[in-house]
Amino acid sequence: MAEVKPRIRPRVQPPPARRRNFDEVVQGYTAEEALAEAQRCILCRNARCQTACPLTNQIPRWIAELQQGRPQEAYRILRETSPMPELCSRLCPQERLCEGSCAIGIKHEPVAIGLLERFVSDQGRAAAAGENGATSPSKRVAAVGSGPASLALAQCLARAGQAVTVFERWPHPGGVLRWIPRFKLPREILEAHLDGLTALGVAFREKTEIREVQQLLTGEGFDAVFLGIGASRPSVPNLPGVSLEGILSSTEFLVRSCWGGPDLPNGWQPITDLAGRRVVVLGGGDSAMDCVRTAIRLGGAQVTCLYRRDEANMPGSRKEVKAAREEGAEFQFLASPAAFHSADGRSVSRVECLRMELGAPDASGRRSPQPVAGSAFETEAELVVLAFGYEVETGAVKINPATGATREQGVFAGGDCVTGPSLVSTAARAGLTAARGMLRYFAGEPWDALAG
Amino acid sequence: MSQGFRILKKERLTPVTNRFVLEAPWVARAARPGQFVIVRVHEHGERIPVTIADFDPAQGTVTVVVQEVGRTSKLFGALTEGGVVLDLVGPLGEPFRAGRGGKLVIGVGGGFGAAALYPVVRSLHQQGVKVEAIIGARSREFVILEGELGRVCERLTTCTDDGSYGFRGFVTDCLKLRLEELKGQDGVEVVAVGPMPMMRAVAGLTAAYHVPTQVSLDPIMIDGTGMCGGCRVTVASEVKFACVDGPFFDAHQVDFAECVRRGKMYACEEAAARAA
Repeated sequence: MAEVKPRIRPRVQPPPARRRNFDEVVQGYTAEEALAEAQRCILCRNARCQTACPLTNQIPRWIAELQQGRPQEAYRILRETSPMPELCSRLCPQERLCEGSCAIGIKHEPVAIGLLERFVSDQGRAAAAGENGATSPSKRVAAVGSGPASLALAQCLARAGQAVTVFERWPHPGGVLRWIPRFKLPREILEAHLDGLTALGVAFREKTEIREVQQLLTGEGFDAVFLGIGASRPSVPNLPGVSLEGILSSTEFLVRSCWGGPDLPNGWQPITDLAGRRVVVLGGGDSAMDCVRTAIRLGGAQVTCLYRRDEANMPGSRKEVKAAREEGAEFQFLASPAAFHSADGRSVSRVECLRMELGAPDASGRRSPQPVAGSAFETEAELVVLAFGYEVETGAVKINPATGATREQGVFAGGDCVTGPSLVSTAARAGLTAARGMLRYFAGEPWDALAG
Repeated sequence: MSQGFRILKKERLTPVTNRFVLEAPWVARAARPGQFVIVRVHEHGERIPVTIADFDPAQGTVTVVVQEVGRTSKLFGALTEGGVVLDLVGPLGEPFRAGRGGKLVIGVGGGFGAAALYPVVRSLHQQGVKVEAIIGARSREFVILEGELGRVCERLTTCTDDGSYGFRGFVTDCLKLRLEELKGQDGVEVVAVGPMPMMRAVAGLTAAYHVPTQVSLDPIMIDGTGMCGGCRVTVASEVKFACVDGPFFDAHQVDFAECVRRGKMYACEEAAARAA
């Protein structure tokens, strides 16, 4: 077997520079680099990467095209399965999905599938712009919420000739994609994706709250409804002092850091400068890393992530943790907050913590942390960000996973509101599943069969 | 895309309060008493939560009463009939629900809280629940919705701090007298809407009389959709979000000291916005 060449590193903004800006950190491959990295793939017949991909992208098939110097054909194949490769390539934790299953990765570094996907989609998108939807759509579909699940559904249905209206309560569509920091997902990429959907004929109705789904079916004349409302309620721990000033949820922190004033609610000011402020981010997932890395860019004097398990048991993407560390974030593992204290009775000034040790595995298979008796210690902080994950506001929605159908006729659902917080790619898959379920429904399949 | 929400009618209720009837059929059809909307006056205005003061599904209208306190509410007050409000998102929050076994509900409205109280009182009245109301204002010229409330409750008392009209004193003084009269009668409940210190005082008073009480914690709401947790409040030692779990909460379980503190969190920013 031929010698495996080392994985090609993408161009990346060096840490000292990127600590001071919100430009995209990873700058991607040039055509030459992409070609060379693609050559590392051995095009496995029973490709494990493909099985590991939530969207079952046919990775060896499109990499083979890339190896032959045909990025447009690679893009066409990629788009057969993925509604948003330019987003997934930037946001997926590839080391747990495709790249984590790469055969090359058993002995060497895996093929950089994510970076190749990004190269292919950035190249392909520019050339493939201007796709148009059907001229006389047949059925009317309402998608509630405008995150990745609804966007995937809208794209699939619009291409199949249906009229889709996406409802969003906030001033701009995108849902959770709206507060992914720009250094991971540049705003232009998201806007271009939304523009593409508009060109396909998808209608967006922002600033609209939908309270009654039945009303959409009976009163507004939609033929089917998709609930893609996400899991947006931040988990707030019941700890003493948690309501002190200076303790923000990750959503509040990210929204105030990356949105302009006019889009912010009720008296919120944009957070533009954290110079001299010590920031503690609680939690160890991708949201926590987004907050840590944002706080660093805003000039936080000392930015610390406190996580109750150890590094090996962090739930988020490894590449995010690595990037945060390069940028100067500090980590305190096996530490959990117990209380928040204030020097002036108003604003937080200290976080009281306990040291943890890992006990027996819990239901998720991860070892659950237990507090160590007498281990209390304190960390000083002027800003605390709670990044303990999210819950579904209305309680999880139940569906038939094969079709996305709920028990209520005409109502489908998918994404985080069904599964709890998960990945962009799994939400996109759920949107596609529901779109196909809807097409079966429109073709006359009885509801009982769809709802299973 | 909607081109904004048309103002069908504007009426000045007091020197600082206006009533707007807005064309918003979607919201009007879904609205329930006690819910609120998030309003943005124009592109450069903030998004502010405003309680729905009335709604008419048949006409497709929603009524809001806005008191000019901050910069945005002043901009709102400057709008005229025929003009538009850029955004109106809602209805949000959980509707008001009277406790089971309530035989008499006393609604207490402080200042422009009377506007938020009105749909609650009206709905109870329509359901056949015996309902009374006590509303209060600084002086006569600040009293609002007296006529409307009077038509939907069995007994209405209007208080003014300076005695320029009706009962002289605070709404709590008046409520205390009424609770004395009702002493020993069961099934009495109170619902209070108004400034935080007033709701806190009502809670203290009714606790002493063991009268179940709900308060509307809308003064602390921010995004209104449960996504930021900025309006978190401790109720019965549990963290709740005023916008989606409320706005109504058991007054005797609310940590008011915390609400007052959190209500002031953005006070300096508000002052800066007013000066700008």
